[in-house]
Amino acid sequence: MNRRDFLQYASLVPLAGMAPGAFAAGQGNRPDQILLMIELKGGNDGLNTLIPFRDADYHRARPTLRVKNGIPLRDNMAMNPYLKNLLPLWKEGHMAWIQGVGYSNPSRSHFHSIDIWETASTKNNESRGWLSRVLPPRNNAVNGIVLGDNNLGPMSGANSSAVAMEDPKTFLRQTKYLNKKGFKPANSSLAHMLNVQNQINTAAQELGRIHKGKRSPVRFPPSRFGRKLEQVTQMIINGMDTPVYKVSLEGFDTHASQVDQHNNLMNHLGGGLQAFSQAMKRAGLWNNVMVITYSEFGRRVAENNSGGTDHGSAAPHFAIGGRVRGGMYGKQPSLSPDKLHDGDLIHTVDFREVYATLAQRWWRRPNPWEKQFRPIPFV
Amino acid sequence: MGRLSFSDTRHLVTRTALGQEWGGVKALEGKTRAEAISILLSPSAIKTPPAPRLTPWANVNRMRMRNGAGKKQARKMMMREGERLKRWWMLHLLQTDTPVNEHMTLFWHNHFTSSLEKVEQPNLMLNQNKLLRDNAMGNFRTLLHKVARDPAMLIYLDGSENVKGSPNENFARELLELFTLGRGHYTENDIKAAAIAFTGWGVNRNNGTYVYDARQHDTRPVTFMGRRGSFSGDQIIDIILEKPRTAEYIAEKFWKEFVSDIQPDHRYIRNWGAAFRKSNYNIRTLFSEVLNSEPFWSPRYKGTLTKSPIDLLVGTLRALPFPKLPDTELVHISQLLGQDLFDPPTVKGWAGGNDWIDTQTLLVRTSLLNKLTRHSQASAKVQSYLPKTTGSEVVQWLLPLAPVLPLPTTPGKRRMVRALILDPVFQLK
Repeated sequence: MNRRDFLQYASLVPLAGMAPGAFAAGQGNRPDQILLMIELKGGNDGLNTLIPFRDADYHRARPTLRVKNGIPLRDNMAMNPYLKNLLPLWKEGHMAWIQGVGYSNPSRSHFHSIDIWETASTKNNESRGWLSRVLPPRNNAVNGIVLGDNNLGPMSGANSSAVAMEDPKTFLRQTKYLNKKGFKPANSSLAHMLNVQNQINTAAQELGRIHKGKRSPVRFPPSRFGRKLEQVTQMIINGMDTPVYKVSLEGFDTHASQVDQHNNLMNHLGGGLQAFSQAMKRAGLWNNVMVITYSEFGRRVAENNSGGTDHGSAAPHFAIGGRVRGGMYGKQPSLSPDKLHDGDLIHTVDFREVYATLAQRWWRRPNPWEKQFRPIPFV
Repeated sequence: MGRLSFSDTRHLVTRTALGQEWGGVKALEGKTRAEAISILLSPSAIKTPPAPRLTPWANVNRMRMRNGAGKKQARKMMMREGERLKRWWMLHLLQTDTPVNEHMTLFWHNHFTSSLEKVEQPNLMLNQNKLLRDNAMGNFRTLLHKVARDPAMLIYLDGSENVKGSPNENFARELLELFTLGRGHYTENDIKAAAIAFTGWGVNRNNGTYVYDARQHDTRPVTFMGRRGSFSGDQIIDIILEKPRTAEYIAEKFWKEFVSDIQPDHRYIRNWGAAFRKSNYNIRTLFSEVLNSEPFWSPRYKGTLTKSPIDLLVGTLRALPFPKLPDTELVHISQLLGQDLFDPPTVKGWAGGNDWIDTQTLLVRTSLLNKLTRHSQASAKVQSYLPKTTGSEVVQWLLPLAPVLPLPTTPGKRRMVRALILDPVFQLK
């Protein structure tokens, strides 16, 4: 029996004898499999994140930018030293790296490429987010919450049931003016509007409750990213009925003077996610969450003349969580100049294989890309 | 046939123009359907505001080629000029005396999509916009031939990359799938054949004109829609226009735009398509068929179409005497509402219908209407500009169906208007 079935069943019987386990933290109807997506905005430099540190081509292409003190993991790959906070997760076997993630004929436009990632379509013919094809639409709950952005991104589309907000407080202020009264819809357009209205109001009501709810004892880094992760934590531990969260970390478009900027971002990323994993462990929810990164593209193999890197193509991404099967997945693309396409890496894993994994192996849902893309066994 | 009631003319005007301006709705009251439609479809001469100042592409290109800083500077300049272009259209939408023609311009922008994001050159997008406006209620055959050689389109769908020996099928595919026949009415081989016929069509980016390069044109004979020959692009278009399906496909788009989101009734699509073809693709003929048809007036479909962001924003501001918003804000709001002019999200344009309303846009819609109708110093005069009429006529003027929320019990014209605008039914037309 999964948790949802259990709760539905439980609501029919007195709750008196229930053990106050981890789930007692919130009163909501928290899903068993939660996904937290981290968008690395601007195009993360994959080669300086998971570093092919024994590859002479890497050192040749990056005379000033190469990372020399990476933390060796496996297969001649090292992790950026500023991600050191994530090393314990790697050692526990709860961190999976997926290498060479991208797609054919990559776009180097931020806007266009992130669109491709979020709609899972390379043909510019899809305006709905990929998650709306994986998760069934909901009536009285939301499938996703985007924090720190007004763009629903991977959850956009009329039937996706997601809300985006700068932060819960702002959202509560914005929803103040929305009609709260129910009405009798005279046609399907009004029924749709009522449904959207209900989703927003339900989310607002839940967030109002959660705002006053229990807080995690774990301290988060005092950055914007840290605060967003803390807000997600607050929602999860208080039982928000939402399977997907999305938070962004901005500033990856490192065309010039990249070193400090990128190290700083790695530090934010590692520190924030370490706190998040701690908080989930403390709440007994580590097995119920998975964190995954994505970004519009990686960066050019060769550094440019401004101490930075230009827009590239494929890049590694990672997943962490209590049920993630740690290790290296996919193949690191070759950096050998004759194996590059216009100076860019050629992807070895299509990003939809990652989505297929989340659909099929994390949520046990049908894989919408079944004919082309198979899941990867990182969970 | 009876005479149109006030509620009938409001229906006709909100669906075909940009908002229900009181004078425009009142002027048609009491006319027959045919009279009212004929008046509506005979707009006066089209006047647009002076074109925005845009840097010639040759100058932009020089700047771009200079160095990295120049490239950045050029990109910034294009962004600025793109915004200027958006403001220009927004202003025209708000002020135009020919709102039906402008509604159709926007309709064709959504049909023959191109985006600034891909085309990059605001001047080419402006030229395309003019083309769509000048032909918005003209002839579809002419429009299609012109769109096929429109520089913005040639860039947007990579037609300018389509050369002998290395065909690019993007334009050929969308020509068949989105512009004329629709899926299921052509084969992959038809796409390949059409792409070959269009090889050699390109753009001179420096002066923004169409060029034909005979050396890049592949004269190989191909089989297109069962016909064998060495075709030109124009011949391909003419073959497509011989197919009854093309007229029916456009008729279906009219159904979706003017009648309902719900699956079209095929009897009407066949009839409209036949009339459209018989008129040699006269857009006004098709339009008139649609507006004179039973489904357009059927209570079944009244108040079922969701207002687009432009309907909501521009339509409300045209119809009601609220204080005007600065044009930069209008452009920004339309983006937040999900209709960024000159930048449709995909090659299919805006999905429309229920897709206009999601959790994000519903909040923006609500806060916009709240802000517009809120009592403030600037809005103090609104009361005196509202039409002098009865409460029930105000309801009929602003809503396509009965309000679903209770109306205020305290009297007051402005309070009443605010309640009607904030009613969910106001989002519909």
